[in-house]
Amino acid sequence: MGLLKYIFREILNNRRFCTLFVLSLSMGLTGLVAIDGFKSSIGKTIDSKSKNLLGADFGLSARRPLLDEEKNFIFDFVKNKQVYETKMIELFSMVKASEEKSRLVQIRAVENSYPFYGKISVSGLQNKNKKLSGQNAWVHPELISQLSVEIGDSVKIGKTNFKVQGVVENDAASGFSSAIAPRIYINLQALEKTELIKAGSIAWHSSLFKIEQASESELDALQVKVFDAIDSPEVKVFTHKKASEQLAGLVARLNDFLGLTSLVALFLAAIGSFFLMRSYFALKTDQVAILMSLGLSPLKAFLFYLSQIFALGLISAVLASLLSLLIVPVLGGLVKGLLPFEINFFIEPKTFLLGGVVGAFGSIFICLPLLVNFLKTKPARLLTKQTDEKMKPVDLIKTVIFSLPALFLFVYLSVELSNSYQVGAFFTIGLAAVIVLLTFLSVLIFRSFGFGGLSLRWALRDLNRNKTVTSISFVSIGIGVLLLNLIPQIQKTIESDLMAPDRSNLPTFFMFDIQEEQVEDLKKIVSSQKAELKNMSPAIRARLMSVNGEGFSKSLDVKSGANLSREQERELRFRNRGFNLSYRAELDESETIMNGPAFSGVFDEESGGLPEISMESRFAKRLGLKIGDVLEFEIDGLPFKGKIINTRSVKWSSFQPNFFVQFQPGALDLAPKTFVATVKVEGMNAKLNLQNAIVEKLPNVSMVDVTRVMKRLLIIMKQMGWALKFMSLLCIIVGFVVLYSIASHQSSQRKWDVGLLKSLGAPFSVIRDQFLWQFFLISLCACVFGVSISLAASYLISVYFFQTTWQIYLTMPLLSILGTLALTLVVTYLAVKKTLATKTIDLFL
Amino acid sequence: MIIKVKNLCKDFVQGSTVISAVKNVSFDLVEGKSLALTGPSGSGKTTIMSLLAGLDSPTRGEVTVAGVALAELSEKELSNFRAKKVGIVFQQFHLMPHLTALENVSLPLEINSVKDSKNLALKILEAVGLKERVNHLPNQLSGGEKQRVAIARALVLKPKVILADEPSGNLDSETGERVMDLLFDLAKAGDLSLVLVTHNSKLAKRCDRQISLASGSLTEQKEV
Repeated sequence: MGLLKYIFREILNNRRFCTLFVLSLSMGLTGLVAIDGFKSSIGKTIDSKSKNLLGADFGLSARRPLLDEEKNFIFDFVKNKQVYETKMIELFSMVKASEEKSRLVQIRAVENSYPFYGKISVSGLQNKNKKLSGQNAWVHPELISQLSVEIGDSVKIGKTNFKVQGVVENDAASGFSSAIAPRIYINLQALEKTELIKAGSIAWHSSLFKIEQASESELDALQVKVFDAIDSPEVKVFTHKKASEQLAGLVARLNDFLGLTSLVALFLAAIGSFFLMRSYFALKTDQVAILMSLGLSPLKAFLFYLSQIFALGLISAVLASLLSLLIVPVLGGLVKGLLPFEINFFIEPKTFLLGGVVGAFGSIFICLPLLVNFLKTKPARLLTKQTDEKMKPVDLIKTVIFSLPALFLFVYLSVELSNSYQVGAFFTIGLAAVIVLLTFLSVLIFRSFGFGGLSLRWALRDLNRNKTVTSISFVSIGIGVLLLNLIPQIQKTIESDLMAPDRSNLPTFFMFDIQEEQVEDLKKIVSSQKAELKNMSPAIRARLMSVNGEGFSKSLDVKSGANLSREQERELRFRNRGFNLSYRAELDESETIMNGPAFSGVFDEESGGLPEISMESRFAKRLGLKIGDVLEFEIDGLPFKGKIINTRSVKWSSFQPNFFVQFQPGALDLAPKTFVATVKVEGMNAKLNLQNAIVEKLPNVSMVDVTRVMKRLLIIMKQMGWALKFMSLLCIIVGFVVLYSIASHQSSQRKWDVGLLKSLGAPFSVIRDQFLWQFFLISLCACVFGVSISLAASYLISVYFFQTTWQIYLTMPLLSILGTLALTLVVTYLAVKKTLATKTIDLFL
Repeated sequence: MIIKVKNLCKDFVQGSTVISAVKNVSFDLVEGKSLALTGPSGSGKTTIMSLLAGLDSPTRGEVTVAGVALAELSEKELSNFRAKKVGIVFQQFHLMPHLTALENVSLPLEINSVKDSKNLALKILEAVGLKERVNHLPNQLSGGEKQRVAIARALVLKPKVILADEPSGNLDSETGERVMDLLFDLAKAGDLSLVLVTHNSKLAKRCDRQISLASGSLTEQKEV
């Protein structure tokens, strides 16, 4: 109780320091707490809605019809519980309403028992309980306007006409209501009549199960068992929860980056808190020396200040939690449309607990090296002390050792928030490199020069002498500006790449599910419409059996049911997928060989060698494949070998048919295949005419409107960009809070200097301008370097990660520099105003 | 007269209480002479010193220093007055901790845009015996050296009046004596007027005049 009383009094007696410390730390913690709250809101929403989203408890899915023995595993493994099954097939196809109106849709063919959970509300039904049967269709509302149809009208799917029986008003299992392909429900039995599913067609066959009174753990255990029992890697096995989590995958990845951005804010806050605590301890040196001279043991002194820091950390966490209550709904609004369901916002106690733990222990970890050095204070200094004596030099080894907990906490949070060891490590190293670079620059650039007015010269001299203040302010502003510019710069580059007017090669339609016997017909139709058919590429469904003679098995990680890192998820996804193989003689414009020679020509079976394979470089890297590896595939039940001779990069944004695995021509010519192709046509009328002509003659061929896809991509990117910019804004706000704290504390510590300058006759304007110049110069240089580093980083990320042409956009850098400079002047003035008003008479007291 | 103080009063308000720190004090000082302000703690010495320096404004009364009536000056004019007419030496030295001795002494010259400030500062530092310590920071100097830097800073602009607040108060007696010798010698050599706040009666006796204060009122005024 006594300790608490003293802590309370200490906080009250140092209100300014404590306010700044709490303000700085709480702003930094806000992002972290908000992101955790946002994630748990999504998680909780998934928990409450996942059965409705899937419409079932459990499911199997594959790009081929599921085998009875595969489905029977569920019935075999579930004992003493009722199991119900419903089947579903999903595919993309064109739908035609009239001679002029047709478009790509997502067809979901279901049985009457679907869904087991939730419901599909349909308007326009004469009998509310009417089931979907016969050649009736329930359409999502956007199709009504897009196809200009009404309830009762007829639409043609494949070779069959369907009557629009109702409009889906509320689809519990909506998934992404994509603007690219709205959904149509039809009866599973009716799908057969459409004749859309042919050999090699892209369609997802699912079996969904309702298992009476199955708990989450039972479903998880069942997933492991079934996954283990089914041999084919093509078959996806999922619980309702896993399926829903995958639907939220895009936002989950966005959350990774939002989390890292919030970590930058926390880091900046940590810098500010460290600085404030350092100044505080410098002021408290005498006090602790007095207490020690009165018999206070170093341990008690240590515990006292530790408890005080702990208390401040907790207060910061409470404030951060309150602020996050405002931020979480904003984040939800920014990502609306990226999730297939509405989020129910609530912040769980564990989120508050996270804030409390990071706030309290994080503060201790940040201040630990300072505290250890601070408590080296010897009471003897009271006898020898001089007024301007500073704290003793720090013990470097102790400082490093006691800095390790903060470092470990930061690395742990990086990995935890990004869900990736690679990204976490890259982020930590990248941030450390930026800090070192900015610190180095701050030390290097601020020199005393003989030019300029008195305020400017003094400001430069101060910047040069007060290196700690200069570096911390410089790094805080620099990192904030860097982040604020980096995201829009990359976003703009990608947008520009997608929307570049000179993209003459960009196709109008991307077509798939073209049957071999339809190729010639398609060519004729396209030619008759004066359009250009390009890149007709075969697609052969295959499965990777072995690499260099060793079986390429399914990953076992899924069995553990543990949380997987993003790398593990990706590897699992790649491992457990079927492959589309292709062959072509020459590279497309969108491809570049990275390593190895080009194909030697047409494969000669009599040569005795293996067919040559070209692998997409990143795909090869993810699967651990290299040049020289012999891959054995299973195609239509038959084994087929090939050898990797080169790796190539692919510019996927070209929207050209491209494949991860490509054989040399002559090797796979006889394999069963479908084709994908692109077509280019000029003008809106010609585009519609071409689409209608193809739908009329070849109704099973799916045509993706590339422009529509790009628009959708841009919308998604913009939404993600806004969310990231919002968090970056938090970073810059934290940067300014740190700047305010530093300027305010610095000016307060320098009130003697201010008084002295006044007593020496320095005009008020000169003293004020000195502070303004000081922080203006820091801000200006930090902005310039922050922007420069962001441009360099955006160049590297654009060119090497997104493999696109980097372009510079000066609007954001200019706006951010001007905005930051203006804010710096305002913040600095507000921070130093009180000190500037200090009466010089205090110097005599 | 270099200093004329007439019916000077200074009140401070603390909550609802008005504290009179200086009560109706009048005195003057002839150019080139020295004056000691003595009295116990809380007698008003320091308040009078700050009023003479134009660092605070009187509640009532007049203060004229070097022909300048301080009550009529704006904040800007007061700054200009301090820069040109007076030099102040503090008990706590008040050197800028991040500036070298040379830079500390150069400050007033820079404020007044005096050319060749470095050489002028070097000369005065040489005069106070710190030629070898010009590039040292305050925490690398002894107490006596710090005060000599502070004196050099107060004198570098050749002001008419030096205001010194217990300049030897933070020094041992031997060092303090040497510093005071220096201050008196330099003031005499420059024909400067010196106002000295001190508790030290021996030091007060070295001044041409002594004024004793108690509870803000003038109790004794005598020529030494």
